[in-house]
Amino acid sequence: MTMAAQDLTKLSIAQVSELIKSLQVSPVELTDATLARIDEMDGTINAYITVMEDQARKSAKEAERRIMDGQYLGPLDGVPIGLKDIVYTKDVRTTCGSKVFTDLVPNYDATVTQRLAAAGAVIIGKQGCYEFAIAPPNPLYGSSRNPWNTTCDTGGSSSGTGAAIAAYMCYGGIGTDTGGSIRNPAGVCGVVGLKQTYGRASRSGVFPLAWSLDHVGPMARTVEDAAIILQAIAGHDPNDPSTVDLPVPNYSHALTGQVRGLRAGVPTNYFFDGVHPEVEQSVRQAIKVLEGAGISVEEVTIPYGEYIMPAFSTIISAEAAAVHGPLIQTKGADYSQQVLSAVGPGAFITSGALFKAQQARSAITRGMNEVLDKVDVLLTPAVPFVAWPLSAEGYNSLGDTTVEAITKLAFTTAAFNLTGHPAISVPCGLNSEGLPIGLQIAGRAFDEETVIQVAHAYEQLAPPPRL
Amino acid sequence: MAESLPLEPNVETLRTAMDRLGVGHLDEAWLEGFANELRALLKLGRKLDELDLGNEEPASIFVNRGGK
Repeated sequence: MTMAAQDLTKLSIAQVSELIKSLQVSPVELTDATLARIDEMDGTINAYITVMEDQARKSAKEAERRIMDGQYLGPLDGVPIGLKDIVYTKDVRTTCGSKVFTDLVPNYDATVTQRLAAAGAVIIGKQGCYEFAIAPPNPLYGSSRNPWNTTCDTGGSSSGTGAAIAAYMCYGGIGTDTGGSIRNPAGVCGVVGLKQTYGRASRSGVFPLAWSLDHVGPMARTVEDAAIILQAIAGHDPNDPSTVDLPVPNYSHALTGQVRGLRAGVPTNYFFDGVHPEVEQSVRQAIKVLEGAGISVEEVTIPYGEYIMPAFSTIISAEAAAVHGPLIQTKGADYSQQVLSAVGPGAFITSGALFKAQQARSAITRGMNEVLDKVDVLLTPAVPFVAWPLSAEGYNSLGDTTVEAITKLAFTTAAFNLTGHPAISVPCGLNSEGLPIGLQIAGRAFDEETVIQVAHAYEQLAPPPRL
Repeated sequence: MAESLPLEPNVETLRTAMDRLGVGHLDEAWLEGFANELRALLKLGRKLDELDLGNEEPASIFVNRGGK
């Protein structure tokens, strides 16, 4: 072994892939180092529901053999990657963080699992999440703890994935994002989370929360690593009717480090409402850094901003109730009361209210497209606040009702689930208590390259703090 | 504009609805909390009644694609 195991786990995917490709490090070494790190840290962090030790070692040995035979598959070959535990894995338990699925062992892989495996990734384990990706705390598996302060929440709902990446217990992961569940834990845990355009990557084999809002996307320690994972999972899938048959660009071409000539919009309404002053200060400082590098910044108004959360809440509630209704009828007693409180009210939304929300969604999307005709990206806070104290009360620590709590938690992110535009969270500093803050960069539909370009350039200009 | 949301929820109505869903026994306090959740959701949704979007085509359920 050429490097100490501890040092190996702290490298990026791009860095370890160079070591693997040049035969300086083997996938087996990397997997052993990652499993040792999980063994050391996960008693405290609780990021994993299932560590796939045997399968991971087997995949690593296969990767080692393949690479020694000169058949290197690319930058994910032999690299340990985690999956949120609502992503199906053949012959490996997929709990959705719920008692309802304690014994669910899928007989097939999700499309993202297949695509990561085809790229050579070593699936290291299944990571904890809010139960059914909607409601904390997790009564059965416990909450993940924020590596920056273990008395704090990780954000959610891709909680374990954000925590595991921040604590060097995997190199990257797959999260899901219905109202911000990739970008929120990324922002709160100080890592990168990318929600690509709706239709860019398949959700087939991922347990749904709300079909028209759900996205499956990459989480990683760097923008380049998120781009590497997106490259592997993007593209049309006949098993997911929402995916679009468009060519997938080479995202590495977006890693130029340059922003000169690009135009950025900073919203004067909605996105900064209720944002904590320290978060706002950091985000505005990040905007100045980008401006200093040559991006032109202008103020923009988001049409129908005040209708974003009413439309989002109505749609997510109605769809989640439709997803869970049949399961509640057969397994209602296994549902936690937090989840019933979160998904039950949607059963009482009328078709008139739902279609009104979908009308508003059309208007909001059209308005967002008009803004993005004038600028290349929008710059906003990723999360309105920093990590909050872990609480047995779950959402009740953020609001009097689940609706109020979700409105606070998803305030800055849900707009882009509603409209489908791509958006990334990239770290932009720490608050006075040393907790991470995230900058959100959103772009035009199917223009992930520009989002990645700006995020990567910012990361080069202001390297993120690390644990 | 036509009211597009149901009447105010009450605990008895919700108990009946949840029984029909097969959730099993839910105590009074939980049902009160659930009624509060539902009231909060309906109140938030009522904000949309301010909008007069005429013949705006509702967004498609499966194909959104950023409005393209």
